[in-house]
Amino acid sequence: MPRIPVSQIHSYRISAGRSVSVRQRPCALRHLSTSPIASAPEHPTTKDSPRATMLNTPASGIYSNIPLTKRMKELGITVGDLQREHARREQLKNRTSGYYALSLLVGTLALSYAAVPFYRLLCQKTGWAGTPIVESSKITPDRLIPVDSNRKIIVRFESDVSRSLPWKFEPLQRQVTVTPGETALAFFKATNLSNQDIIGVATYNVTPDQVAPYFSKIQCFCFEQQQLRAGEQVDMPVFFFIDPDFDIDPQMKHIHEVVLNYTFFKAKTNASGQYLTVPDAAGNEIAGQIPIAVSTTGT
Amino acid sequence: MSFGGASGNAKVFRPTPPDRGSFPLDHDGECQAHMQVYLDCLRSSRSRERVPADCRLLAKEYLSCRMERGLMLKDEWINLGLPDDKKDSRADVPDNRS
Repeated sequence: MPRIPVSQIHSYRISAGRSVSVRQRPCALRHLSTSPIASAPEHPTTKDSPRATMLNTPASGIYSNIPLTKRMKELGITVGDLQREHARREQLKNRTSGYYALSLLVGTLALSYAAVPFYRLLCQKTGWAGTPIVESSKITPDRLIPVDSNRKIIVRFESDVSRSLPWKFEPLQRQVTVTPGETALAFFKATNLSNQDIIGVATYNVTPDQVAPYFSKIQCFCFEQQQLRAGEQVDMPVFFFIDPDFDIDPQMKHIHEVVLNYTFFKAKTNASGQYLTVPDAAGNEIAGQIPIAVSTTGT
Repeated sequence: MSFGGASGNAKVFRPTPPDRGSFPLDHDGECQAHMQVYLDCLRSSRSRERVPADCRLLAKEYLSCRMERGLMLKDEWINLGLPDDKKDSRADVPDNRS
């Protein structure tokens, strides 16, 4: 910072809390103020230090007839003191800006991490971006009225069984033709081919993916553990419908076929035969109870 | 999964549990007869166009069988989208069109 010739500092005043207008001040000292709040935390000031003098000089009017140099001499402050004080305050200001910038960075990072669960929550509540809303209020009697158009959708059924599950699992009908809003009943049959009681868990998949928000199941056999005794055969119904809004959605105009695929997995047991974890759709074990939201089975 | 493939597609499929939960398994086959009749109706030639009204009545029979045996929670038919018992079922089903 350049040294300011003393002769140039003739109209500037040191005042506590008050400063002269910008135009009157030499530019190097523009930001210099003696407000205690700005300077106090930096250095402990002793009573007689030039800095203390600068801080404690009382205001004696905005305009003063005494030249600055004379006042400075009276108070025992040199230009060097002024410059040091200025440098100190500059440093403080830079540090404050630095802290602001750092906090902004940290805040942005935190926000980006929090965005993932927040977005998920938002989608679940509002059904935005195609997330199906899992609320009973979505299936109300007024949604179960078939739409008044010739729209027909063929729902095909497919079944899969995990390799570790010795069950035979198949749909009992190849397809069902429905209208949006019309409820339909379909059946699957599962046979336990082994000689042990086995608990299985099913999950499902709807193709094409865009139909998923419109595909609502009133009741089925998925997501809960179903036990089949050794050699037992049982029929599993699925009661579903396609939401009437499917008919008005322009993106769904070209869709005439939907494939509903159920996959059965084996619930895992520990050494004593106790069921511990339930696999999710990808075959990974999830500790605890039935997974409510699982990843796609990967068609 | 859909990591690379779904980059252009904003919608990701997520299986959801059914509205009323899971059907209890019909271990004793109590309603199997009703199911068989319904499936035969589906397989008949008429059902290629759409699930006919009488097949839906058979579905209603099956579900009422389940409700009686305690294999399903009792509910109003209107909540299940099926025609009511009291009204004339043929006139009530609005899909009586070609």
